[in-house]
Amino acid sequence: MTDELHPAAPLLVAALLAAVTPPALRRLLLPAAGTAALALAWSAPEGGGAVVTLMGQPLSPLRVDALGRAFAIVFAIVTALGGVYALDVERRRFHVGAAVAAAAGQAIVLAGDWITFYLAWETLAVASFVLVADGGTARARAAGVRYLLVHAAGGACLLAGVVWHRATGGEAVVSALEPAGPGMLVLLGFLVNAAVPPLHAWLTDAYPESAPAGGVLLSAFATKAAVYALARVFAGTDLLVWAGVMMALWGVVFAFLEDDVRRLLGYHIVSQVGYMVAGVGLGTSLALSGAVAHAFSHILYKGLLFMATGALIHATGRRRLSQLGGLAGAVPATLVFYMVGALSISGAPLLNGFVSKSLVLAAAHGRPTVEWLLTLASVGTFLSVGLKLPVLAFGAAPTAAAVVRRVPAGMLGAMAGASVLCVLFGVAPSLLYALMPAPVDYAPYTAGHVVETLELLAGTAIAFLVLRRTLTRKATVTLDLDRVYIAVGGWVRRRVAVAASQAARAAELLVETAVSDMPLAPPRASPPVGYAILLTLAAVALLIAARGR
Amino acid sequence: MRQLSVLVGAVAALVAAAMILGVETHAFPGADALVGVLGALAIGYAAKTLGALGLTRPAPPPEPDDHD
Repeated sequence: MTDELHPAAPLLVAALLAAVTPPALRRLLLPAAGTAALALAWSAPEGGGAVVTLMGQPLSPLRVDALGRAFAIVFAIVTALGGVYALDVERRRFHVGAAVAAAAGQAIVLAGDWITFYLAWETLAVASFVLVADGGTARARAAGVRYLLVHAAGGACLLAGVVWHRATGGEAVVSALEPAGPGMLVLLGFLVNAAVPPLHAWLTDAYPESAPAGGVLLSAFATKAAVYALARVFAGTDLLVWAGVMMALWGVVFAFLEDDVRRLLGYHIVSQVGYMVAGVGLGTSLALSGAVAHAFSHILYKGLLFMATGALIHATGRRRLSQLGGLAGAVPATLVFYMVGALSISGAPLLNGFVSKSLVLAAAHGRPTVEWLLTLASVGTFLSVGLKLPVLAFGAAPTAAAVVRRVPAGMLGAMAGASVLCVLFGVAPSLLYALMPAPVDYAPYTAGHVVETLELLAGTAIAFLVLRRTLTRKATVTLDLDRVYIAVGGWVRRRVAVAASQAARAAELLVETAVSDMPLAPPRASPPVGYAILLTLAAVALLIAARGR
Repeated sequence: MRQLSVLVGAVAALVAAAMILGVETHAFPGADALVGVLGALAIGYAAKTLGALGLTRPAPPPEPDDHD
């Protein structure tokens, strides 16, 4: 009977229960539902599942194959771990939002048809908005609204592409498309979610404003759902190779500038997703497995990094490197767990990032420019995440940050669990390979490759000794393309405001004239209909234009 | 600033030349360490240069949240 139960089902039940249960019970729902989803995703038989027809459209919400299963499994793992991490969180909105986001993630990667896929895609955007706004500050709510607007625009592209695809006789099944015509619109929708520059600003804007537990889950779903979608629909599209390379480098350069610990990690999501996008673009069996393996690994080690930095924020109440420092002795376990994640994302041997990053680089071996640039990005990853952040946050500082709250047992337990998985998949790559969509014949642990990797890390560490002298503890925000958006948004806002004002006045005059010309009309004030309509339109335009803060 | 730009430019030119010539990242013993050193310096100074060009702004003050 459980064969036909969708892994999203227990998560949706958890969301409903979270809305009505008391906090003591509510906090147990996410880990329990995540574990149930993991069992269902693991055991679901391969196949298209049941097909139901809705308004003449065939829907197949549970299509299981190796690609979808790999993502469903790791989504369920991070849901369960995120639930354990959030055991001390009582807020209803967090638990409902998290469970719905997790359910939507499962629904996306297991959807067999475009309609189910699109509905799940939009549900994830709304649930992610809740998780961002759950940060509880005015800035978090504003970032959440911006997140929703950007993803609504991406979703609109996706919907337009799907409708066009179906209207021109395209299949209902989610399958490969050409990146042209309707496929181009679908691709654009995916690229927004994958945070490909210049469409990436929503990520570094929104994720750092969430609460610590929300950041863990946000880091897992949206961008990786996009990687899944790209792998499913656009594998082998060469454009993605260069998009991925650009992402990998973009993220590491701007991350080195960043002062906010979770914005820094956000830039590294952009960078790491770049490896995956490049792997999808390369399109070979090894490259696709590398992309999926790296997504799998990334969800674990990036979740761990968000957990550790979230624990730091929880313990100190501070989120900026310029305000942190000297914490190694105060939160030693958090430091250990952080370093497991940091070394994993840097591709250090014995950790899962080493295995999956090696797969992508090996797949790029026939294209030296791509391999060079991805290797360079790997250097930048270790520079920021493995060296700069821990040295400034945990190392000695002129004024050490004070720990005002202890790190709860749930946070420590979740970090321990994620660390164990990072090590497990690192020392036993066959466990990771077994989950890949195609057989993987690659041995990462050759003496030569291990030495090369250690050399790369050592060289980066030596350069950091030089760069460290140039690091300053300044409370700044990195803008990158936000500077352009703010400038353009301000210009559009001013122009739209003037145009809307003039149009509204003209409409008012028209209404006044029409009313005054009516001989039998009873005397009354002219209703500001035109003004109201135009004001509404202007408000919508302003919201879209005001991407800048 | 000028020195940094020269350094970043030199490293970028070196890397570009290596790529164009098809030199592998593991071409000789110690090559990867060299890539690590030069790459990290290039990324670090590129970031510093971008920062100096005004792609940062002062961080806003922290806000109270509504969490219990």
